[in-house]
Amino acid sequence: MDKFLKLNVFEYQTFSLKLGGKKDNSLLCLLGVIAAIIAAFVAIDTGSRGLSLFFIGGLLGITFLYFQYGFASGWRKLITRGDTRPIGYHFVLVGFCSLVYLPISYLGLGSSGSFAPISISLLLGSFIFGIGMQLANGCGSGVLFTYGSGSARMIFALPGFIIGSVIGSLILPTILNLGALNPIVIGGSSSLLIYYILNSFLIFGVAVIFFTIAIKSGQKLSINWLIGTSLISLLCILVFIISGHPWGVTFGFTVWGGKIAMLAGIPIDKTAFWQWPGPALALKQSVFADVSSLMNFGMIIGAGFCAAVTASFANQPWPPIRQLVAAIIGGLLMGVGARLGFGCNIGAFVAGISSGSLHGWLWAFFALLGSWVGIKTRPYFGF
Amino acid sequence: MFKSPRNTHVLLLLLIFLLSSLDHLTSPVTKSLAAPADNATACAPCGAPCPE
Repeated sequence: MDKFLKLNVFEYQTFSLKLGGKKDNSLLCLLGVIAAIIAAFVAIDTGSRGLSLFFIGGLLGITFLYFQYGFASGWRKLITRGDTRPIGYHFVLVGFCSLVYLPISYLGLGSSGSFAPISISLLLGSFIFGIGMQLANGCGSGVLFTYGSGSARMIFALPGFIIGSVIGSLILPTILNLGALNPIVIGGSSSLLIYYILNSFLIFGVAVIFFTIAIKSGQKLSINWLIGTSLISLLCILVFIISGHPWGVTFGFTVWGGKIAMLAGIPIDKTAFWQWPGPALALKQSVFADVSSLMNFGMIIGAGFCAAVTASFANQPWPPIRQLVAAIIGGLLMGVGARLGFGCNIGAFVAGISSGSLHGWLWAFFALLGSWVGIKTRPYFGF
Repeated sequence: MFKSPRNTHVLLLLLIFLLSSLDHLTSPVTKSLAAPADNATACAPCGAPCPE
C-alpha cells in the first residue's frame, strides 16, 4: 500500500454525495414508515433471518449509492476510454467473495454457490443484458439503488425490467431446449485446495492484469472504490451465509412481475417456468418471503434514506424523452436478458464467478460484447 | 403534479408498497424464506431444472 502511495497511483476522490445538506424530512418519514411496516411483516413471519436480509439490503443500497458503485458505467469506461480500473475493482469484489464462497460451497457447510447451465440462453441472455444496461444506464443493482435514490430515468427502467423479466420467464424454457449443458464448475472435480487456488488465481489474476494496464497507462487507482468494494464484498458474504445462496437481484423483479400478471388475470402460473418448483413457490408465497424480492425492497429503501439525508433525492429535472425511451427499452432488454442469462452483474457475474462456475465467466464476456453494442446505440437516444 | 420526478417517484413508491403489502396479507403464512435454488431439482439460481 505504501509503495502504491509513494508511486502516487491512488487518487483521493471526493465523495459525490455530501452529508450536511438540507435533509428531505418528509421523504425520510415516509421511508421510515414503509421500512417499519415491512420490517414488522418480516419479523412476524420469517423472524431474525428475514429481518437481517432486509437490513443488509438497506445497507447495500446505502453503500452502492454512497460510493456510486456502478457496473454499467464502469464497463462503459473500459470500452470507450480504455479505463480498466472499474472492472479491476469488480474482479476484486468477485475475488473477495470467492474467498468465502468457494470453501463453504465445496465443503457443503450450509450455503451453496451459484451455478447455472452452459446454454444458448446464457450466451444470448447475457448479450441482450449488456445492451440493455448501457441503454438504461444501470444494471440490476444499478436500477435498484438509483431508482431508490430518485432517478427519473429509473422510474421508466424499473417497470421495463419487471415486464422484460416476465417475458424472459415465458421464453426461457423454450430457449433452454435449444441446447444446454449441465453447470461446469472450474476445478470442481479436484481437491478443495486446487479448486480454491485455481479459481482465486484466475479471478485475482484478471484484477491484477486490469490494474497493471491502468497503472502503466498513467491512471490512478481510487482508495474510495477499494473501500466500497470491500464493504460490498462483506455484505455479499453476509447474504451468502444468512440466506444460503449468493446475493441475486433479478429474480425478485420476475416475482413482482409474475404477481402483477396474476393480479391482472393473466394465468401465468400455467406456463412452464412458473411450474418449476422454485418459481411456483415464489408466486404462491408473500413477496417478503422471497430472498431476492425482500432484499430488493431493502435496497430501494436504503438508497432512498441515503438520498434523503444527502438532499439528493430526485433533485434533477426530467431527462429528454429519448433518454426515457432508452430507459424503458434498456429495462425490457435487461429483464429478458437476466432471465435467459440466469441473472445480472450481481447474480451471474459476481455470484457465478466467485462460486467457480464457468457460466459466470461466459456471462461476463457476452455481457461485455452486448455493452459494446449498447454503447454504439446510445447516440440514437441522445446520450 | 408530474412536472417534477419527485412526485411521480413518491407515488410509484407508495404503489409498490401498497401492492406488496396487499400481496403479503393475502398470501399463505410462511415461516421460512425461500430462494428458487433451494429446491433439489434446481440447476440455476432461478430454479431452472438441469438439462436432460
